[in-house]
Amino acid sequence: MKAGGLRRALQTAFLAVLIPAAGFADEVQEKLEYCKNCHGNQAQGFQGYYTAPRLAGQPVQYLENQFEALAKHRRDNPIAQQFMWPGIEGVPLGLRAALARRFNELNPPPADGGPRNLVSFGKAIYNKGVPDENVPACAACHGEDAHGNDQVPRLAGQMYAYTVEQLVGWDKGYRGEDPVSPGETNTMQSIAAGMTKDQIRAVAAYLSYQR
Amino acid sequence: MNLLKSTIAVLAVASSSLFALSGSAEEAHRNCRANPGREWPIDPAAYVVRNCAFCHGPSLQGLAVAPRLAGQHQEYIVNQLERFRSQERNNPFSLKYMSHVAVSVLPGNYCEVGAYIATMPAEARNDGNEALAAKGEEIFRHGVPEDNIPACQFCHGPEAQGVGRFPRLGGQSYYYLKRRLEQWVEGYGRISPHMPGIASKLNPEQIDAIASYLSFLPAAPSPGEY
Repeated sequence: MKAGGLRRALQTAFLAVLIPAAGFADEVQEKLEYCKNCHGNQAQGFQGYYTAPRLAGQPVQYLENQFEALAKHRRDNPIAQQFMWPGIEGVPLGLRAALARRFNELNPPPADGGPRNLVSFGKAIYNKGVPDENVPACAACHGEDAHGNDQVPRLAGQMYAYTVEQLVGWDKGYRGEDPVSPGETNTMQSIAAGMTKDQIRAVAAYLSYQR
Repeated sequence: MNLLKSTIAVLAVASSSLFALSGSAEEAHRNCRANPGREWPIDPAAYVVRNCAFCHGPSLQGLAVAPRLAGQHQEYIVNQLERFRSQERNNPFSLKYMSHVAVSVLPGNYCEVGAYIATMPAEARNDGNEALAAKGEEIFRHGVPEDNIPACQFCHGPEAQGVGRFPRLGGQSYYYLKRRLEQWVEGYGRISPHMPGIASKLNPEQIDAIASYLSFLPAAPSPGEY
């Protein structure tokens, strides 16, 4: 009787630990599948009517910052408002952190290559900037391999259309605030504003082929 | 002056959206441009009217279980003809009627058929349940994030006009839309990496609502590339 009681108690304790863990893993997997409907089966980025960026290989810290900026409506371009505001709403911090880790681990090949003839021009801007026009070298912050780190995003393999949209959008103030220090102007705003459309296209094309 | 201003505004919007869409438009036509087809033995219009209209209706607006094809995107038509030919689209009607149609059209001519169908004006079928349209619109626009159902408009466009291989859904018949959503779950034609999973999360009321909403949408113009 006593042994049976103990066994039941142990079983209960065991299940109490196990069930929430299994439940959480399922929750992460379900949410991940939800994200992949728009961001691509391996989060490589995906082109529907709209463009969803590559999330695969992004630094965990960058993803968590963006989740927060989207949840707080600081990232406010029309596509973010339409899809990411409702998408991130109600996703608790623990789940966001788990999703960030899962996206970070993925490493699919790039999804959307830009015009090949712009690649060498883009590479030069990425590595050396355009000193005459105060455009710094992208590589200085995003890394020579464009893999980013901490709060600096990975750009390697990003969708051509997405990189173009973001660099054009910065000029409109869509990502005007630094997600790490809200209230401060984002470093990228003035850089993007100083770039011509040809330079933007070229950098985006170069990055779209990087692994 | 006002007219000039608004014209400039329209041009600015048009050029900025072309700028954004140019990559995908390029993609959309790469296959048909790379393989423009052999000498088409007959006029595509005559071919379509003689062969497709028998089931899909005289102006391809759809008839009974056959969907509306008019206004569908070239890339979608080409892709689907390939899937009928390979019998990946495999529900009983597809196997009975469409597989041999896709075989009888030379694959090199799929692009001509698609290009012609894309030019045909689409009419809304308006045959859903009006009372469910508002609920359907909510799902179409925002999905149901807490149930991990994504917004349909992300791929199919804000006015359900579709783009490239994503079909135009606006104004399609209620019955076809409903059956198509059910068939993803039944296991027929699992040719989309996303639709079977999405459809399996929808309950019958939600399917009813989405199909109803879409059946009333007028055909919005195709996005820039066509």
